Amino acid sequence: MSTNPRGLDKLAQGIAEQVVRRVVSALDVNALMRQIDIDELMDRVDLDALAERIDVDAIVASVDVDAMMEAVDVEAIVERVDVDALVDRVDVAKIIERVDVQAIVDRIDVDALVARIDLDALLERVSIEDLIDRVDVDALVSRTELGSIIARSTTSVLTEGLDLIRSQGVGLDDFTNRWVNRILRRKGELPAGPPLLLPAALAAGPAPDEASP
Amino acid sequence: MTSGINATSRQGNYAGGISRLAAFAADIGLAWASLLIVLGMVSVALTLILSHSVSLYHGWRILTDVAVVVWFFLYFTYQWALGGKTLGMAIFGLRVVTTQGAPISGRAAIIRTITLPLSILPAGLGLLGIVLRIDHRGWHDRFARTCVVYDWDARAARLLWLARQQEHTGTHRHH
Repeated sequence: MSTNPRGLDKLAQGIAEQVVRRVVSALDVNALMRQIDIDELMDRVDLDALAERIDVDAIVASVDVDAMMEAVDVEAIVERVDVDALVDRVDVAKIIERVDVQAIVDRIDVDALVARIDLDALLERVSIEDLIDRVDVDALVSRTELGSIIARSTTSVLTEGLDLIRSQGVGLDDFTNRWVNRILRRKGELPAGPPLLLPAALAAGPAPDEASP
Repeated sequence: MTSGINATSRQGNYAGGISRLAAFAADIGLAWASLLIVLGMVSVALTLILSHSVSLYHGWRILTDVAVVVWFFLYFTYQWALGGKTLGMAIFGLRVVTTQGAPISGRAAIIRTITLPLSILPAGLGLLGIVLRIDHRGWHDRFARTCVVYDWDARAARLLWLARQQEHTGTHRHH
């Protein structure tokens, strides 16, 4: 009897398949799993080596983000967010402290901003009369030197004129008195004025030339 | 007449004859001017009422003379009684006070006004005391027991003047 090698292989293959099928069908996987010690198994797995073999970039590249975002219901998420609670947790003062206002202001083009303002329209909305009514002119004048300048200029002209006239009169009085006293040979301390207006010590008058400015 | 303490301030000192004469001249001028204005206004009013030209200086001479006397009497008496000074005296910084230096009464003001012509009329004899006496009092002053003093602070005026000069000089230097 001659043997055909190819026929034997085929027979063996068929037998093996049958055996495996019968073994698998007879195998209780749950019982088998219960017998496996998962912890021991995990201890034997080298996770670092496994992680090194994972190509994260390739996984990310294969993800269709747009399709994923389309699938997300943003409205539903937003509705579930408690905005008040979120705002309460925000430290606004701290945020403001971190804001560089000067840098923001520097970036503003003031000229362009002003150019966009319609001054005529703005002025039409301003009530000049109301504005003037609200101005305390007296306080304004008192805060400036205008009031004192007006007062000083007016009074100084008047007082200067009066002082000049009076001084001239006093000077001539002194001149006359000197000559009268010399002619009448008056000497010593002479009363200068009524007792109620001058202290007793001031019995005599002033030096003639000292009164005139 | 010298003083060490009150050298520049003349306030309260007896006023000399020149200042008093100038003040009196100013008062006469002011009294006349005001009288002429009043008489002119009365003339216009009478002309309008009587429908013909009225001249108080010619047709109503006696009445006008009486008005002049009354006007001058009121001018001096009222002002002396009110504040011890007339407008002319205020210009020259003078004031009428009693011989002790107190404000004068209305009675003293009236006596002074009435006796003022007595000092002037006898060739100004009654005014000689203003020049010759130490207290510069004329007859009318002696009748009314008053005297005239300087009422302005010459020392303050001098200081003000000096301050203004300094300010003026400073301004010029600044420019």
